Amino acid sequence: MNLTNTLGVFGIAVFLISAVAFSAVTLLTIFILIRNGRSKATTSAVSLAFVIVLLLMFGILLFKAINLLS
Amino acid sequence: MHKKLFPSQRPDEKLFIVARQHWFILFKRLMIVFILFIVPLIIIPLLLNAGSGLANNDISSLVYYLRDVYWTGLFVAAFVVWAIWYLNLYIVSEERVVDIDQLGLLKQVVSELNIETVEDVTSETVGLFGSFLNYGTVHIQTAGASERFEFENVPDPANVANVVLTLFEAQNDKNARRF
Repeated sequence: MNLTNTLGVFGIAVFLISAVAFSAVTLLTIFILIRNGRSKATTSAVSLAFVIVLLLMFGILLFKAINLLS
Repeated sequence: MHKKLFPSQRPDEKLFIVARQHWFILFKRLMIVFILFIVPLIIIPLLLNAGSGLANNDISSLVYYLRDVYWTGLFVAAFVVWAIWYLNLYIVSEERVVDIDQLGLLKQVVSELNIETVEDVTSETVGLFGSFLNYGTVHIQTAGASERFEFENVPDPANVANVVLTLFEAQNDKNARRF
């Protein structure tokens, strides 16, 4: 296994672990916001905007992790 | 349907103040996140330049990739900071004063006191930003309790103190008329 492959596998592993961890924290935060928040409109709008940006960031991370492999 | 802000809220209970901490408090916390965001922009070029013999393309790609993971984590942290700020509420109703403290994601403390038990209300504005932006702490002393009830960093603390005292007097008048 050469260095590029090792780095690529490491990158994919980091991506998977961080994606699971960040998604868990995000889902927990959204759950708490919806349960305890005062305005459903505000919490929904902010949560949706946040999730869209987060998914975009995950997309970039995945793209970079795959690039590390090649 | 009207959503209850605190568990013991009556459907017809009139709320006079529903406040959060001043926006500047959120701004200060987000500034810490922003400083953490900038750190890799300074450190990574220094590290890669210092170890230029070691840093081939693969290593630098990995370092920049890890920086992006770190930035994603900071973005999530900023969301959590906002959520905690958003869920901290100070409420003054015609009958009670309620302090909802969101201490982290999984800990919420709701403290209530009956407005009739209020003995002394003090508003406090401290510091340059507090004075300029008009935010501060309102201390509410109750009969018999040694601990003071606190609304930390609320906007316009003098007005909050005034509303609490006015409601206390109104409640006292109502009770006097009843007996």
